[in-house]
Amino acid sequence: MNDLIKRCAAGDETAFAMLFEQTKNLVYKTALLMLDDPREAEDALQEVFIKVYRSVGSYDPDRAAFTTWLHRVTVNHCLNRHRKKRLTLVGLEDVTLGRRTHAIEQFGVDQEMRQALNRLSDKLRVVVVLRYFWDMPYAEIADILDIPIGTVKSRLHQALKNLRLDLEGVAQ
Amino acid sequence: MTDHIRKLFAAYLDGELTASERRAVEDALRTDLALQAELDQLKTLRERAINALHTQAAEAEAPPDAFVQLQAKLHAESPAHLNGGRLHMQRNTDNPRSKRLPALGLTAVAALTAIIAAVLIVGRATRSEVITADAPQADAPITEGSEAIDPAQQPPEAEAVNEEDSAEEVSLREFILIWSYVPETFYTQNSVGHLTEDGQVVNEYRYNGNEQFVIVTEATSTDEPLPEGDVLVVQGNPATMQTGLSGTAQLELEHSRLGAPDPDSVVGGFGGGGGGDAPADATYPEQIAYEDGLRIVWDDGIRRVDVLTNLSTAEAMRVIEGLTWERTPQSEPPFTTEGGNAIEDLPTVPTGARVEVRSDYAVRLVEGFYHSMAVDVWDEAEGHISERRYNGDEQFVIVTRRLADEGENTAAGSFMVREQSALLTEGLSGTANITVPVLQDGVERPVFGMGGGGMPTDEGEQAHPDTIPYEDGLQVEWVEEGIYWTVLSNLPQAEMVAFVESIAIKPAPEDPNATTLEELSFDVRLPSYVPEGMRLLEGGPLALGDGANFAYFNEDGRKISVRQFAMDTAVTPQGYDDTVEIAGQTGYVYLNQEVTTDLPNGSTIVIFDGTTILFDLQSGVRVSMTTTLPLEEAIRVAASMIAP
Repeated sequence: MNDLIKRCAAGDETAFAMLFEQTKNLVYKTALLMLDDPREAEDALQEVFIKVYRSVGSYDPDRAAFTTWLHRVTVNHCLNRHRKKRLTLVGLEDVTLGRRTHAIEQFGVDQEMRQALNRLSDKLRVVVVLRYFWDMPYAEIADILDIPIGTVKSRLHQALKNLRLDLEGVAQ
Repeated sequence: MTDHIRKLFAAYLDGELTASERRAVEDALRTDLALQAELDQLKTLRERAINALHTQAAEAEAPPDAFVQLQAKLHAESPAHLNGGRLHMQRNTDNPRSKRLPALGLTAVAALTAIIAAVLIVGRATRSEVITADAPQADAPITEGSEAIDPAQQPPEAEAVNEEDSAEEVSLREFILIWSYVPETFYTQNSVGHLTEDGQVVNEYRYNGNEQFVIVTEATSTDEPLPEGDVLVVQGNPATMQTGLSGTAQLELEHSRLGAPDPDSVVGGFGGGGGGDAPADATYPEQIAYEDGLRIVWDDGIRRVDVLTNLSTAEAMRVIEGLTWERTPQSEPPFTTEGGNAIEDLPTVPTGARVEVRSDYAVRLVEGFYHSMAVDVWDEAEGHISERRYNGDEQFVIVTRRLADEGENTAAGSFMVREQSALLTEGLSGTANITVPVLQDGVERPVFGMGGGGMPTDEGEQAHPDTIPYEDGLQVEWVEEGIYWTVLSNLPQAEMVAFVESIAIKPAPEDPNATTLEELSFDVRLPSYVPEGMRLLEGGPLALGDGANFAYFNEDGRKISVRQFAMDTAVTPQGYDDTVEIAGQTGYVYLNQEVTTDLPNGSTIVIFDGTTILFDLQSGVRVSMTTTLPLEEAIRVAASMIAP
């Protein structure tokens, strides 16, 4: 992987294509879980790799694994996207309704849980995705989000608590 | 103190506590049953969250044309960047396996990618507008040194000849091209393989009336550079793409499919004219003039694939990403089907069942076969379990497995199944008995839920003996993981190979949460009523994780399988077919459930029209009861658990 990245940094487009092929689903799946919308996830995939393309030269393999770096770029993009989206939407009701409509179209998913996951705040949702989907160690999550490990612990605790309360119908 | 312990639960479940924190949690759990119950609930919730995330994203994949779109955006957003030399073709000199990509003039790259960008991003712009803006004329060569492609001249014979010197000699005749995706309006099932005289090239054509086409030309792999064009990745391989091509596609159809050239044979099913179903026996040499053709070429190490089409870029990429090659069974090298296609879990035998052959495996569903219409049966005479699938009364697969004798193998076979030497027998004839007899004391008993001919009905239990005469049967035998496998089928060879390769033996399930009944957070309740003749499976309730399992059965294979487990009963079940009232509570009914019963004589019956009812035994305890009993009887049994 590091050789591929070096070649990308040197402007080798074939290497960049190979890197994209090898890591595109990491980005796409994370974006899908963060944004809960395949179209937005596709957009995020494009935007993230544009950022990667432009900044792969700044990646330092001594500081983090490439996938960690890529996760960081991805989650930061998704978090920023959520922030921007919130600014452009009129009210929470619209967001909720929109999400619910979309969720109902999906077959075979625990819709209640999925909706509850969607209602988590971004900072809680991201640790849930990194831990419970990607099965990442807390230390790596802390590295990606640039927060202490203790904060990862407390956010996961809070996330599970919020999910429980949400599913029990308790207003938060 | 308790709050502090609670806050550690998530990390405790994730195995992320320090040793001292973990000790503190476990000490607290030992002395506080309420805390233990909370942890159990949290664990259930956590697993539910994990399942929801995985269900949502495990199978999700980035769209196949994502890289093309990305390239378009990169070029469209930053042409200056491009000219600065950041994005350019570069010969790869440090990886001998990589295909060498020709250097390409930056102007040509810009023009090409501008076209793609315009088509993909400025979706409403017409092609002529785009071309007028900043690209070469559509019928002009697009890249420096490249020429518009005449499919009649493809592929160059020289490449095939050169390949004889390559280290890996693989005949393309060993493979069948599978089209996983074709546009809706294309004729389906009507691809034509054309083997050229040198036996190295296969063409497949598809077209929609006389408007659109895809020509896939294959030649043996070569180290020759790919044609000049925009770089992209196809199926994990470097590829190049040329756009804006013009010419006339020659659609030759008078060849047999995937066999030796046979000038006298014709392939029916292609018609000129409109789309939809192709005329039954029409054969038409066809020409399609195109002005916005697209050519994509890649090399996967076995073949060089050259696709010419006048589909849109996005549609072409979907078709291309859906192309797969399956090796025919005559081939010698081993191969795998990593990932496989749709994997359907087959019945697994519940914990504690008496089986002598592991049944924890999964196979791919064959398209057109009845979904989940599989039956396991223990044959007393042969001492093995057979599993049979069939498609109406036309096709069948019989999988037989038994414990292999020590040292037994099929090493004489030259066919490979995964890493195992296998024996392939072709041209078998006979009659496949799709009757699924369960012999008990010499008496044949029916298996329910199978339909003979046509689709199964929902009219309750049926037993349909069925036989399928076959004259071109295939049998594959091999030994794997201590099991002697035999698969007999009248499927086409490629399908058969794919099926056999898709059999995946799953690891035996682990049970890290095994506990005892005494350790459960609730008292297991047996029903006070079960139909006459039904008896509790030997061993009684068995603790498993945060609950317990038990089952009743009778000699006819009727079964009641129950799991009682701790969970947050405020959570409403999802996806149920119906609701019923059970002792004043709501029961959630799921129909057409799979029920596996292991009879005392060793026979195994799998029934597919069982019913599962979810209901709550008490607050915090849910029951999942799956049974082959009629619904009214099932409700009565369930009610007797709630209110004895």
